[in-house]
Amino acid sequence: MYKIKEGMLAWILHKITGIAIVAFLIFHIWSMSKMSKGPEAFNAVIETYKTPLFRAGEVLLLGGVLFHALNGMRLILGEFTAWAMKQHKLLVYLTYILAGALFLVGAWFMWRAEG
Amino acid sequence: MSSRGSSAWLLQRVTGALLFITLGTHFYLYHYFMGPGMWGFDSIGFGATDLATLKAMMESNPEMAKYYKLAHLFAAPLWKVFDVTFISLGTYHGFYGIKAIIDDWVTHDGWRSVANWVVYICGVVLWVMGIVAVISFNPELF
Amino acid sequence: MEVTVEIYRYDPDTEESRFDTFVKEVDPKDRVLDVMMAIKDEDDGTIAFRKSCAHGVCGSDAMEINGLNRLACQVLVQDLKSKRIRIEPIRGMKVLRDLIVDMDSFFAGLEKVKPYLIPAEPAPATERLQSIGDRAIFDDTTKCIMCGSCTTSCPSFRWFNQDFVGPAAFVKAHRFIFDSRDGGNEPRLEILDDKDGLWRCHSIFNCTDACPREIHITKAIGDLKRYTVVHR
Repeated sequence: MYKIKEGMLAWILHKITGIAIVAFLIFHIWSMSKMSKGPEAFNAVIETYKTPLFRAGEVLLLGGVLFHALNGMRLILGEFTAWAMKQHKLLVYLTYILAGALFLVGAWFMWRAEG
Repeated sequence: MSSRGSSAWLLQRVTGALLFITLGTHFYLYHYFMGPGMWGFDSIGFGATDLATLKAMMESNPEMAKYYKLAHLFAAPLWKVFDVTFISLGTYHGFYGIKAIIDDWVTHDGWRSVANWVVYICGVVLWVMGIVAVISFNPELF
Repeated sequence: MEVTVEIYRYDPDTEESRFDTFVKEVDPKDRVLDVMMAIKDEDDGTIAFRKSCAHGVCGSDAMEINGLNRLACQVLVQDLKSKRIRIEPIRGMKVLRDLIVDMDSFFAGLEKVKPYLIPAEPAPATERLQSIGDRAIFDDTTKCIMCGSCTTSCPSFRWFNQDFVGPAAFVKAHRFIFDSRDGGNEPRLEILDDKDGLWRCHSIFNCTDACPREIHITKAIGDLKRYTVVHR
């Protein structure tokens, strides 16, 4: 088994979070097209959004999106600057730290705001 | 022979960077602005309905407050433009990403093109669904 | 110090593979290749592996040592920081016997990018001159010894499909595309922009981590991506 180094793990996570976000996008657009059918339909969909399971999923999604977005920025930075290429390991760790910190703040905030 | 991957590669990076901004706005809007607090509301005041009427509607019918608030936002032309842009960027970036994964995993040429077409069609259908939902949303219809 | 060495064995006649284990007394400053030579001399003479110069120049003894591609002649036992040494052939290519793999698909990738100078102008009466600055642009990618460590560490090659041109060939392409004397970029870009070309690189950095010559391969591929976007 080949050792999973920094860049490789980030790549695997990038693909997994990417697939998860697309899955949510499909669900999201589908439920949104139901919402636009009127106030009653709208409120019915909003009710399902309030269930604990959905909200936990949403918080998880936030984590996925944060990682995918920041890691994507790291990749763009790497492909366009020599500096980011040379510092790739540092930048991978920075991505995890930044995504983790923003996730904690965002998750707390999301959970509180929608109570 | 040439599949011209270069423009697709560049476009995936450009849409990714733009999504960084648009998705951030989207998240702020629906998890912060849509939250229980009213503040932040006046700053996005280019809705179809005037603010005073909207506030009166929300106070008279608190059950529907969230709907009025979102309807107000959805109906605003600027946010329609924003949402159409956002949905286009999101579906393109997302489904091209899936296609890229297929290009890696599916090595048989025939199966690869079958899988790619399935992804293209799903992407376009979803994109149309999203655009229709955004454009057709008009609170005054109800 | 005493180390346990596990060596991958493959017998082409029976098509069976296994790991053979040897316990050896070694000096921490021994190279892995020294340990393997000792095993071949003292324990089992039938173990097959490639080695030629044994000094990190010819690139024939690339193998997967404790989960990472490297040259057996370059890595010291003490650098592995482990009393277990697991030696496998580089992956993604057909194993011919034990640690010897069929490098054909690897060299096919190299040949695709035309790894030789295609002159931009007819031969002058004297040398083709090049400024120090122009030479420095591709200095890093001239160091490649074609050992295959990078290409066989890349998931796009070893997991998915061996038609992928691969990092080693990208390094070669970089070396000639950015050479001011070279004028043969059109056919090279055709290959790089193809479906099994540059765009299946996802900046995973396995190649850069594996390169025994410390070539910054992912950076070279990044240069090629930007060049291809502009020039196609």
